[in-house]
Amino acid sequence: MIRRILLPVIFGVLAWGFWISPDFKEIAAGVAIFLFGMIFLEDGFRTFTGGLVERILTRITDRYWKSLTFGIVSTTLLQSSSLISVITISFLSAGLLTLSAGIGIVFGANLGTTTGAWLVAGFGLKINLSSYAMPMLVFGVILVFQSSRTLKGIGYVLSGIGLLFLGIHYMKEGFDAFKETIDLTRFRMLGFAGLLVYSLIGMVATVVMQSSHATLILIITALAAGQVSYENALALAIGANVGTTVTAIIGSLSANYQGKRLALAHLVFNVFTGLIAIVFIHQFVAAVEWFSVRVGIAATDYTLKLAVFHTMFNICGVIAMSPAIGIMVRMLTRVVPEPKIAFIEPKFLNDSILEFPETLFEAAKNETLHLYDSALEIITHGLNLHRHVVLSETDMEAFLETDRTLIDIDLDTRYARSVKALHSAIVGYLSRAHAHLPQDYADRIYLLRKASGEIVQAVKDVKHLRKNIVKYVRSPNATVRREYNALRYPIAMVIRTFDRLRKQDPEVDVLDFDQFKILINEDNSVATGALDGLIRDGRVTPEMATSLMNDYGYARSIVWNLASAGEILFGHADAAARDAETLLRLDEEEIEGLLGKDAPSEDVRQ
Amino acid sequence: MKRRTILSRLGFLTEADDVGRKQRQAISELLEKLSKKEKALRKELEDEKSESGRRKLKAKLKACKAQRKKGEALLEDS
Repeated sequence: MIRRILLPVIFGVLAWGFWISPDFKEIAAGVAIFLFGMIFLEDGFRTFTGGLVERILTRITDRYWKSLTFGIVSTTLLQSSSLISVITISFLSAGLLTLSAGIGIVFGANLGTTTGAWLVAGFGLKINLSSYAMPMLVFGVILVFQSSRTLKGIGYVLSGIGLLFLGIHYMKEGFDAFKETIDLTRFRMLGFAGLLVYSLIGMVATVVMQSSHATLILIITALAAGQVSYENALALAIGANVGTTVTAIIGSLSANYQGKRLALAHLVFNVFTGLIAIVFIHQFVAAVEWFSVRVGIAATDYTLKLAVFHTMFNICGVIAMSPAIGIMVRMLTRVVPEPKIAFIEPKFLNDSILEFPETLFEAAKNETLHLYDSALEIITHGLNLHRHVVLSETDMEAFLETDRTLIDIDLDTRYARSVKALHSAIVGYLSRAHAHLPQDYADRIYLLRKASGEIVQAVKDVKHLRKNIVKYVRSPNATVRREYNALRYPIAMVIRTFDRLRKQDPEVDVLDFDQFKILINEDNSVATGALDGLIRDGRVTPEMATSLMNDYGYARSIVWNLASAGEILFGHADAAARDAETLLRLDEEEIEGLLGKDAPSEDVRQ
Repeated sequence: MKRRTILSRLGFLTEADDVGRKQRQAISELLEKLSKKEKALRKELEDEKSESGRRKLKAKLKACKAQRKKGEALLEDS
């Protein structure tokens, strides 16, 4: 219920926000573009999974010191810890890195970012990567259209980075109005309270300006103008260090659980480092003074002093946190658990019945039917049919001709959750059970295992068939629609027969499946060879024809597999009667032999 | 008690003979059912006017007839 109303509520709040505040609109657009960039980045890195990039990344981050160094060097080169953090999050989300390697990189990035202040202060050098954002976006999009997988991957990565910067740009623009309200003198206070308040201001200012660098410049200006005390300026720098994690947190919104864990690690590290700096502020001040005197930094050169302070407390943070990486990983794993996919579990199989063949057989049969029930939803919806229609007495042919509704289903997820998991459990259990069974039961259990395999195969075939079913059963071309309905009809009827057998309908027996094996051979142009004529007459395009050829194979396989599973599951209880059914059932060769033999009405009078 | 059961109890019929007998009996029962089904289908086919309906009934009849013939052949061979 809550889920159902959540999205409209979010949309409503956002729309109201956009209506009353153009700045809010820009910030929200910035976040959206930023997240879009993250998706691109992850998709891009995913193309490198299992390749050279993954091998290189694994090699250069397989030890803590290596990942730490990688973080320091890459951030120093790119001068953006936020970018390195979000890229690391996407590495992690794409499965290219382990969480501990990611944590090492993020810690390293925190150290690497301190070099920025040194470069500015020492050499007046400022690397502004955002100026490359637009070209990256343009080059990236061009590369995305290339056929080479690698170039496409690079294209996605470049476009992703470009979009990240574009997003940050919009967020900054949106926050510009709020920037004016940041008055550093308003909260001027001394002591511990001052430290906490200014840390908070530093954090908020960095979130607002989307740049810890901009906050540092603001701090230096305020300090030079005497608006804040030196200690409060240091507190602002501590806050900026925490505020800068917001980019990674936003970035993790689109990431998987691993990316979220890393963003949390980043926040924990920066908050912890900030707390160390606040608690030991006097010691840090003394250390900065001592160091400044030793290296000849002027007493009023606050830019360099802030750089020294920034570096010192981050080094302290890394030293303090490094031994606790293992604990941190465990904590993160607990706080952000891997999302559990709700797999369907066996309902009837348990170890207590392993010694009782008849009970075990019944349980295995029920479990196979349970698998069939799970598969049925995928099979019917995959064929764009509702179960209640297939299982009713509805005139299936008339229904297929008129129905144009499209049933939405995520076949892959459904298959993984409800069919594959259950099938694996059945196979595993029956393999174990095999050792406990007398020969006659072992043979019957083997058949049940075969039946469950056939049900799974039918689901896999539906997955292939689905694409063209969706495309052609709603096509304006009546011929192709008829041809696809001719494929759907026997499958639907096999399912209906299956259901009637299950309900022990006396009018039906397992031999009834054979008519649908014949029907799928005779009632479509692929098997009868009429397809060439349809192409020549222009009633179907060659593309439609090739689709039909492939899909006929899948549909035929579905009919045969489901029929075979039904024959196994609903064969007569009496062994002799069951054998008689098996003997009379038509095999593939016999069905093929019937193809083209017409006029059965006269035939049967013989 | 049936004659064959008595013979079986007295040891004049082997287990395989008994299984074969049961199978033949089951096939005969199925053949009877199939014949009835064929007759009903033939009647349905005569009344059916639509082309697609006739196609479906013909497929059903074909299956029925082929199964019946197969069963008859099996009984003849045994």
